Amino acid sequence: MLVASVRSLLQQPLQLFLLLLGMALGVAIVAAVQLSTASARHSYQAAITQLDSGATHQLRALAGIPSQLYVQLQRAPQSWSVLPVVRLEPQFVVTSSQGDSPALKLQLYGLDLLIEQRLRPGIFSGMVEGQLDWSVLMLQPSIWLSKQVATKQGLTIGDSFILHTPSGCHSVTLVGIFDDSQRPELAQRALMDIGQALMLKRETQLSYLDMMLTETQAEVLQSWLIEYGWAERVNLVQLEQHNPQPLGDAFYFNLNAMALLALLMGSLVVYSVIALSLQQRQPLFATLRLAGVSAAGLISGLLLELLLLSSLATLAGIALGMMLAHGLMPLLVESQAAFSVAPVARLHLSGGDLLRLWLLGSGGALLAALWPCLQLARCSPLQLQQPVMDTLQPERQVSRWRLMLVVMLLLAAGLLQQQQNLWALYSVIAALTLICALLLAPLLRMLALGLSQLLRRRPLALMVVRDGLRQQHYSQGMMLVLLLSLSSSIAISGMTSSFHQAFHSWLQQRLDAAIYISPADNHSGGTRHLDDKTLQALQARLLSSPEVKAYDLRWRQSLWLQGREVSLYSANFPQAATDSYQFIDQLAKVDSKTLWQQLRAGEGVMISEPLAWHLKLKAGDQLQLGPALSRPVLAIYSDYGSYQGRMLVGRSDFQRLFQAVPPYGVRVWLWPGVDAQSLITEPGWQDSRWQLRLAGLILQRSDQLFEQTFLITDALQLLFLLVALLAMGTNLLALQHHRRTESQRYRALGMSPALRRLIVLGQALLLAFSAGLLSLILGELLALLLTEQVQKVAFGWSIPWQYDGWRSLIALLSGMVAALLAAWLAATVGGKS
Amino acid sequence: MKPALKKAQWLGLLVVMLLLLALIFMAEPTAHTSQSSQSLHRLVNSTGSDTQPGWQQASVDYQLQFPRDHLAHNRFAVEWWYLTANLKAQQTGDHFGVQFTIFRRALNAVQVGSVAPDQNPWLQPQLYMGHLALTDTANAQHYSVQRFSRQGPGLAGSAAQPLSIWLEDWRLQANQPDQLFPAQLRAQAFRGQRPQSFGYQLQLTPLKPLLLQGEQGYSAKSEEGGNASHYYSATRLAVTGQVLRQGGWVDVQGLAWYDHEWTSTTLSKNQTGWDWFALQLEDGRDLTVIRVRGQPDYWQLTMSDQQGRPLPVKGLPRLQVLGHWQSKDGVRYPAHWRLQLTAPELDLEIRPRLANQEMRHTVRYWEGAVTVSGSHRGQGYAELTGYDAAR
Repeated sequence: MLVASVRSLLQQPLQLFLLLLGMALGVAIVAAVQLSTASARHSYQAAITQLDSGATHQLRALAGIPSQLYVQLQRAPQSWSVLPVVRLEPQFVVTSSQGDSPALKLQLYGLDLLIEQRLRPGIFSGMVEGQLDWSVLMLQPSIWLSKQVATKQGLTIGDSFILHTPSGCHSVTLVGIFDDSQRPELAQRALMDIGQALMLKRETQLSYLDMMLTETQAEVLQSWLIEYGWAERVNLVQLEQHNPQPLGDAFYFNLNAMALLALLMGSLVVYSVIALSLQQRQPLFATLRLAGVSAAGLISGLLLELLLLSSLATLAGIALGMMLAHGLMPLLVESQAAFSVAPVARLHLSGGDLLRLWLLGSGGALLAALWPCLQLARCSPLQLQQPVMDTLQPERQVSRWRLMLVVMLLLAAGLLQQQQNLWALYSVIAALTLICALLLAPLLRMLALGLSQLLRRRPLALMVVRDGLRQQHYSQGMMLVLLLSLSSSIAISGMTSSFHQAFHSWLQQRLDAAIYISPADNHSGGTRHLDDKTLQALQARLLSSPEVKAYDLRWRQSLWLQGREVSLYSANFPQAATDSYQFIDQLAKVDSKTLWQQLRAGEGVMISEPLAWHLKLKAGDQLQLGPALSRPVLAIYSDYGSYQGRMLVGRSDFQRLFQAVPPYGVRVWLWPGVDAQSLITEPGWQDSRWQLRLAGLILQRSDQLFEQTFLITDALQLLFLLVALLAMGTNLLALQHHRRTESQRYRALGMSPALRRLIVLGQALLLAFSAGLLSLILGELLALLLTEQVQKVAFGWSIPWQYDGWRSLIALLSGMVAALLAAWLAATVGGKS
Repeated sequence: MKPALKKAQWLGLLVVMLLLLALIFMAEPTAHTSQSSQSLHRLVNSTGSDTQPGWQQASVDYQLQFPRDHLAHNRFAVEWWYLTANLKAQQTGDHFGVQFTIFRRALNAVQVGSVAPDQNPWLQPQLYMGHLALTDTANAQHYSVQRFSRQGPGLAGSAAQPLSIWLEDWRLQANQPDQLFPAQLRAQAFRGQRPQSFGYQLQLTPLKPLLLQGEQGYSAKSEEGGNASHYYSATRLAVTGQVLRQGGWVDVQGLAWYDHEWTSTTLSKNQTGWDWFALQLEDGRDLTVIRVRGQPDYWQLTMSDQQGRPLPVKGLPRLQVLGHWQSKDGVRYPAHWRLQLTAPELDLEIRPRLANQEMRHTVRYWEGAVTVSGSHRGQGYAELTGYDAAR
């Protein structure tokens, strides 16, 4: 039976091709997104958690962790699992007879290897060369490097090279090499003994303490910190909270949502092609049933046939997906780099991933084909001999959709009770989409009735309209595909363009100075500051330049507030620097000028919108900055620079918190008419101790970064449209097949093939226009939700939704062109068959 | 026509598949973690050699002084503080054997003392190793764990005020200034109420004064001289407290034995290990028997009376091995002895409380509670080293 069925299917090679292509493309997009995001995520996670593996919490302090706290924790009877870490980001240069090799930036971890061995033995994995010689590690400046770096630099065990650190140059000896061939994220990693790392750092403070705690232990520890007077100096951070991932999460969520939609499209292709194929093979099935094949046997055979085909298509899809993923990975890496993460672009594919994708592709195809197959099984041999089997029951489908809608709305309502819930918003989006899907048929009917009135005197056009209306329950599939693809395309481009505009104009306002000066990117690691000598030279330069209208020094430090790492900024805030801040909320009855004066006087702080959102603060609330230092929030300002949060404080408060921290940068305002570009080329401006950046170039670079980040969504949208095109084509093909009797009748009446094709194209246009109109409304509604609600919940910043008529027009036109292409394909193929 | 399969079945199948699909999609890919780890054995065995010049050597002229000599002697290569105890559960009478040891190993003779504590204490070249063991005789179980730490900024070491020796949260601490005993011992392996957790919190009260082993604390280990340590003991300490066994605390009492020894030399070339016995006889006398195995064996015997005064021991003892115990991987230890002394006249039969009290860690040895019968009854602890090399 299977052989007969497959032979019959092979007689329609184009359908078979469409079936396989639809499935393969659907799976390919899912595979590409899954593999590339999973790989990027994996390398990201591996990069940041390789040494944190198993750690649930970290103890952090602004100025580092005193060793004494670590000792006290280790000696406490509670037996907490604590691991001290010293982090450095030095560069190293290998000096050889051919000259110095290019400097490489290393992430240097200073660890207590004895504690690591006990609590985190994974650290010792992959040692390929060298030995763990305790006396050497502890007593001499020795280091472990990755195989990749060691090979690249031509280093072998026992070789010495120079490390550049904030405290100067140090010669270290390579004593161990670990294998990073399977874990490229380790390539830049270097390990040292903690004592030696502290020597390099010339500090006694540890960077942080990794801890492995249960929730109860964390609570006990918190009490312990209070009891022993550490609570005000250190923060216990739960690692999930600390990882700055909301942006990444929302980004991945959007990508996965798009991928799932693509799979849905692929399923619609499968559904249409299978329904069509079953109709075409109806006589064969009738014969088989009459020959004694049971309905169950028939269904089993069909499902087996589909399983074979879907497996084939899925494998092709996975292969295609891997190729796509290779292309997507660099984009993803770029986008992650924009989020201050530097993962390694390496595709990560496990057997589990393959199985998951195969199950997803084959399972999706089987699910999509289940309904037509079930309908077939319900038919008696006699019914199967009828000209056309009615595989679709629109009324029942609509009632099911209504039920789903009610469930969606209930779910959304329930989730909306909890604030800041992304899933609630996505439920609302799903419910809105479903409502529009249900509105498709009435809209088409209304449009057709209106057109019927207009086209009364044009019989051919009238036929196109009325015939289209009569076949609407067959054409709903195509309309649904169009609705989904166009609306999601409009929504995503609406969100990204609104974000881009908001970000761009914010940056333009914020970059109010002409020149930004920061310390040169020299060989030192860690936070860079302008040292006293550099600052003196710089200030002398600025004061002697008549072109300089004003300049302002800037200070920056991190502060832990309620488990959140917040960037704290301070400056003298001259008038020129304050104009660019837009307040979202501010103290009542106080004008902006007074607020800035209060900030300068240390009478309060200003916080960014994301920080206010995450800490649930409003203007007037008190904020505890440190022991016995509490300040009111004077104003909340708009900020897209950091979703972790920023805060502005006066100089006196900053000094009180951080004592003598040197400034990290200088902003320079020029007199009107002075060309910054030519000014900085003048003698005395360029200096190896600092780097100059022009506001315009910073803006340009930011725009580039943004474009790179969202290029991936554009790339996916194109693929998405391709699957939608296929889905529409197969839907129309099914429609063509269903009306082949009519077609023959038209032919008998003398209608030329071109005219018949014109009817199909006209109907496709009508359907596309109806679905397109609804898509415009739905798409913009979704864009509004994504821009103003999802962004707020995910990142804490408000972005005004921007309507763009061109966006809608382009989407509508591309939808109609896709529909016409699909119709042409269907008419050509359908005509031939 | 009847449907081929019941609709409900199909619906069920559909739901299951949907759930499966959802699960598949939602499931996060698992991170690949490396399971391999390097052996700490190699790390420890790569520590500085005690044969290198610069270490301080034990001297017969050295006068032990307390509390000074309770503390660490960083210029010696190795040092250990040892406490063993035979305890009895107050309610059930179950026997427990306790071994608590902190070893110190200096990594480099030249650099000892070269790092000022306020400069970078993490670079102090002192490595500490702790062994914690509990023999649960009633349940025929022997638990032991090992822990390493550097001295660092106070992770392990000894201190004078109050007198204490510790390795992280394992700690022996004096109750009074200038005297090590009475003291408290607190140590626990693992955490929470896990079944394999064990530990103890014991109050130790001296019943006798400190006993200087060998010649006034100079304990020679071979005839030719040179191989020696400084060594003293508290041979009889009354113990009360609690033992943690299988997640539950048990009230106990009994007797403990404390040793503190430091040296810069190990065995000579023709010596393979030692058999050490610390025996507390029921008549109140305590006996230390050390046999350093070699060609010939080297013996050291110290005995104290009921008040802790040294008793003369004359002649060489006769130690006859009556039985053996073999570990699963073939290391064969003596496990039943007959010890005979002529003056004072003793004919003792020594048996382990439990055959398997092997400490199978970085350093492998057998250390266990023993009973004494024969001419005199008693109890004690035995330590057997160097048997794994003969495997």
